[in-house]
Amino acid sequence: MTAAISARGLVKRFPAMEHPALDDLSLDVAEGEMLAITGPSGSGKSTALYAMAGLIRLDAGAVTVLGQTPVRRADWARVRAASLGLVFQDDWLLPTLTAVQNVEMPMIGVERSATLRAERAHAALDRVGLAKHADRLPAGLSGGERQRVAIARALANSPAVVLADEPTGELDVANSERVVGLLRGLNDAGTTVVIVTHDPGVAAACGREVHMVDGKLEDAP
Amino acid sequence: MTLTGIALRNLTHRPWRTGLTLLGVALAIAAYVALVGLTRGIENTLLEGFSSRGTDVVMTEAGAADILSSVVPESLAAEVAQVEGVQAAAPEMGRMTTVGEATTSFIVGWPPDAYGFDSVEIIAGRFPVAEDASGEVAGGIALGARLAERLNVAPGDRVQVFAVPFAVTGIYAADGVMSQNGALMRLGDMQAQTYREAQATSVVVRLEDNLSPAERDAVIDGLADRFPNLSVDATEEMVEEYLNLRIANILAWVVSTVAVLSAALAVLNTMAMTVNERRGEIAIMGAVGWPRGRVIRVLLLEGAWLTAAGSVLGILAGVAVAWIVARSPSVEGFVEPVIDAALLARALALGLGIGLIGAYLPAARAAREDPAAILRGK
Ligand SMILES: Nc1ncnc2c1ncn2[C@@H]1O[C@H](COP(=O)(O)OP(=O)(O)OP(=O)(O)O)[C@@H](O)[C@H]1O
Ligand SMILES: [Mg+2]
Repeated sequence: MTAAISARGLVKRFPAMEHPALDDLSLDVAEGEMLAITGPSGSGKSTALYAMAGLIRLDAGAVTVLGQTPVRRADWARVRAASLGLVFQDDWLLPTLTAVQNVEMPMIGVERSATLRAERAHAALDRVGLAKHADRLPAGLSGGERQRVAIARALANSPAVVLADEPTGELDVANSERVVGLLRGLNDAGTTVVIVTHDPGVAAACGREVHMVDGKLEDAP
Repeated sequence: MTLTGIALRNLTHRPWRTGLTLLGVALAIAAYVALVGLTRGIENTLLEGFSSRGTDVVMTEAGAADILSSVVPESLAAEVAQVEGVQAAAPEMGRMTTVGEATTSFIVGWPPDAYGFDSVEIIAGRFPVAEDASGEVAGGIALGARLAERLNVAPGDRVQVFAVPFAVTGIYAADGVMSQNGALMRLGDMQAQTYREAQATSVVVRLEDNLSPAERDAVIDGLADRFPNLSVDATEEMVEEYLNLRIANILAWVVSTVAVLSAALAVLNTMAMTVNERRGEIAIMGAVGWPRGRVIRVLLLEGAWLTAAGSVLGILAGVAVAWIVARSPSVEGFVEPVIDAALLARALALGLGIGLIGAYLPAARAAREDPAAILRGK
């Protein structure tokens, strides 16, 4: 199996920290797998995930996504738009846009036809079970519903890889299960999924789990 | 959903903030349009006033602050008329004074043989050039059409000028607003009424027709050499150098600049606030793969729409204010605002410039921020 994401020798130091947040981290995510990254708070899980999405500037190392190794900011933007779907602990929906418009946002600049964009956004909302709330503003949705809209937004451009940072962190058990079920379903349909989580239940739903300690994988030399 | 759609939604999402900023922009643009339109109107009034009287060159007392405070001997005109290239010259006395019940008007005194009488079109009665048969104190006065209309007088009626009843001999039409709000009388009558025997305020000159620009300049230079203690100006220069007009120009410039600068700060402040509140939104735009340029473009669109709306409102208000001011009794008839497409385009460009700069500075700063630091948690 080829790697969807391959991280090699990642180092990230933040000012005022004696220990690097990422300490020569190497990690491969196989195409089509569902991987959980666990570890104690501050071990660098989120930093690792953002590095795989090109959202932080690394001090050393390189990330390859589906065979491409972007370096410049603009290259990373292109890779994210084409191949990566991101989900965060907070939904980060634009409060002035309706659910379906929020889902459409990543397609601007990718899909030229506004009709096709709207059509696909509705389909993505349908996938997360929110077709009926398409025209609601985020303020009119529950926390669980908002997180599902955020997942639909991550799916907007049919990415090969979905990266999620504690996607259930703000949700109750029922909503957590629903979100994990959605991600599971995506993975079953072939999407590579990486989830950073504290929740053993969520980790158990994944095919593989890696544990981070002090900026690297636990069993790494 | 388009970039413009997102920008407009952000604006309508905060109607008060948007409305107040828009009003600030509108005020600045209105001030610019009204002030520039009015000063140009004054300039135009002066120019038309001279050109409708057929005058190419004005000779005044050297150093006089404005044409009305200049004093020259009436007899000078005959000498000037002898100079080569000069078709005709006449002494002229200008006064700003009250005619009848109307507010201040501009009265010009000419000798009966002045060339100016040929340039002005009489539409009723006659010019006060022949002896008045009625044997009144004065030889009479001809009124500009609009002034006559406002005073509701016709030839044969009398109007009070210099506290003396003058017979209205005729009514004339002219292009200039000033002519429309002016009156003509005989130099001799005006000298008698204002205790200025043998004096005039200027010698006005009409040059030979068909002179090339270079020849014109040569004639004017020749006049200046020949009469070194007078200032000799082509009418366009005369208008440009008119002190009151220069003051009006400077005032218009200063007030518009202050207004435009404060509007720019208001927009900058609003956009900085907006951008600061929306750091998360800006970060998520980056996270979903928007290039930095598109993130900035959304914010620029927001600033541009905000100031475009403000500018349109400001242009409408500015045009309205300029006309209301021009119609106010104290300046009625003297100033016709000159507001052309170029001025409106400049006002719109100024407004958009304010919006783009005000939006760009905070947008560029926000787009440089580290998205991970914001997205990791509220
Ligand atoms: N932008 C930043 N500036 C300074 N320090 C940072 C920044 N981002 C992360 N860190 C530090 O880097 C280390 C790793 O952070 P990271 O968020 O990756 O941990 P984590 O494993 O995701 O923790 P948690 O489980 O609490 O989310 C922490 O010590 C954190 O304080
Ligand atoms: Mg974390």
